[in-house]
Amino acid sequence: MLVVDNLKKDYNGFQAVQGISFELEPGDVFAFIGSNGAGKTTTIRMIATLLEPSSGTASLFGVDVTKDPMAIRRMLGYMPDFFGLYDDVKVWEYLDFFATIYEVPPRERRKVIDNVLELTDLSSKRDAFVQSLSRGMQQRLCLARCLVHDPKLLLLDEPASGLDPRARSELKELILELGRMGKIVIVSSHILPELEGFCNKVGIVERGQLLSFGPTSDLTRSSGTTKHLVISTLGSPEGTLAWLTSQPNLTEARLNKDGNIECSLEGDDAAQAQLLKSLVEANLPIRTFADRRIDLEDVFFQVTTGAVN
Amino acid sequence: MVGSKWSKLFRGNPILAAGAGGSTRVKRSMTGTKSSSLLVWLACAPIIILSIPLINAAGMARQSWVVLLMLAAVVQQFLVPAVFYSAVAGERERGSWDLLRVAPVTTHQVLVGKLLIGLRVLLPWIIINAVVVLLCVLSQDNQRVSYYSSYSYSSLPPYESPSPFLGLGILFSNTLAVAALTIFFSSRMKRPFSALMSTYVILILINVIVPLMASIVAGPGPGLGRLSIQIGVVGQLMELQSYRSPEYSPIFIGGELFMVLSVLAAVLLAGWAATTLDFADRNVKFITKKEAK
Repeated sequence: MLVVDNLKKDYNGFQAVQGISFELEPGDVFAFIGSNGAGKTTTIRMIATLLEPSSGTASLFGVDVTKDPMAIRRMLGYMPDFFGLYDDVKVWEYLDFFATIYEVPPRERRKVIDNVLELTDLSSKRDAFVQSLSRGMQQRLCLARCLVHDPKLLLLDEPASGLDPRARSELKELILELGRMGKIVIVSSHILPELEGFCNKVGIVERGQLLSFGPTSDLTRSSGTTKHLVISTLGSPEGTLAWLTSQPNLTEARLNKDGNIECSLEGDDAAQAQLLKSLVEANLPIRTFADRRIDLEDVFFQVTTGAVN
Repeated sequence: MVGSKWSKLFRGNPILAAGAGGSTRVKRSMTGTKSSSLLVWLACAPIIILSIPLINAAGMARQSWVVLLMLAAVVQQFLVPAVFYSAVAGERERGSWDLLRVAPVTTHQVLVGKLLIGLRVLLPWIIINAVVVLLCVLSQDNQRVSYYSSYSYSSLPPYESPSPFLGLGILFSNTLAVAALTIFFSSRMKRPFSALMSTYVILILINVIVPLMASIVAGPGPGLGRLSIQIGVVGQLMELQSYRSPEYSPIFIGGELFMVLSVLAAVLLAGWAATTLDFADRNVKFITKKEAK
């Protein structure tokens, strides 16, 4: 497992990362969310042994990143936010080069390359030149490179940036498959919809601090103290909205683009039931009254303030 | 312990294994110049062309091999940096440097690997120079060949240059030093072009500007001017040519010492480059509160 404990990074008195802590188990696909400059890449680079932490520790299966970086490097695959591909090299040559660097035995190399090409759906491009691949394929090739030594941890920094919807969808499938294979996958991004649906854990970082961390399902569920509701009415939505804004415990109420009312209610399930009862008693023609499903974007805006480093 | 360290740099160096076992394209990518092989063959062309009349002269040209070596030394000052300038700066510009740094290899292994793979790209240059110079020597009269093969300064008749093996040693030790100098600049700079230009500036300083300035300051004749000429490889070969002549410098540092100094410089520069390579911290720029004000 990966244990990150109070990780900090200072740059000449400026704290880029201010004591980030979290734990991940094999099979976890972790969405590391934050604005540009929030400290995601710095944290990832510390875990990847590219930056030395100012204090705190990160350990992968008991191996400390600062004490034995070489052992950590053998266990991790790192995909930065740029491809870093060599020009004028064939796909198999590129993978063979990295397989050699990672000391994959010569007799196994061909099989390993074929396997990662199959996993990333690039088998047909084995003899193609790297620069002739589309952006999506190059991204998959980068992922294939990360996999040649069968790492236990994958650090993917903004993996879907610049990809078209199809390539993005294929990448999602691939990351899900890697999670099913028992690898710990950390995906950093500031484009939240791309993380939706395939990460089982989420961490939100702002100004170098981890503001929220936990299973995606917990974070995207309405919390016990605030209910997010969607109400549609057969009558005038404006009239219903006016009635709602006069109610106590309603912190926010607005019309959405579909003409429905979205509101936030401070209170528990009983308060929600009471509100429905009041609406009916006020003879408002309510058609639907439901919990609004919140997504990662909502959670992100709730948790963060928009401040950047 | 020390043996194990050296073994990791050479025999157990994965970068070297990847480059040596890889295709020509991989080797070219590792040195950073796509057209490095073409450059090497282009550089060999004038040496081969000039060698034909010199070999045909068969003894007429007293020190024809020295002329060849001096031309090779001049060409080498342009060729070697052109092969190595992109070795690290190119990786950084391409964004592949981090991929090497997260691999289980040390920066020393990366640098030694790149240096040796680059020298392998330069192998045709090394072989052709050696063959051409030896052919020139063999085309001369038997007595001179026997003098040359004795490899001794004292056994040579007056006005005769020492062994061509010494000349080749001077040339190839300089190949190593220039390669290390280029890799040093490549590892210290973000842009490959800056690394190339910086290397050329240093080489021009060593081979042209410093000897010229020293000659102007010290005046003609033996002394500081003659000594400074020998710092550069071309000047060193010139001094070798004038061995035992009246113009010969009394403070000749000697070809062997030049070779030792060149190899030492190469080791120091490569080592220094490796220890300063880890500047990812400096890649990440943050505006401090003080700067923001």
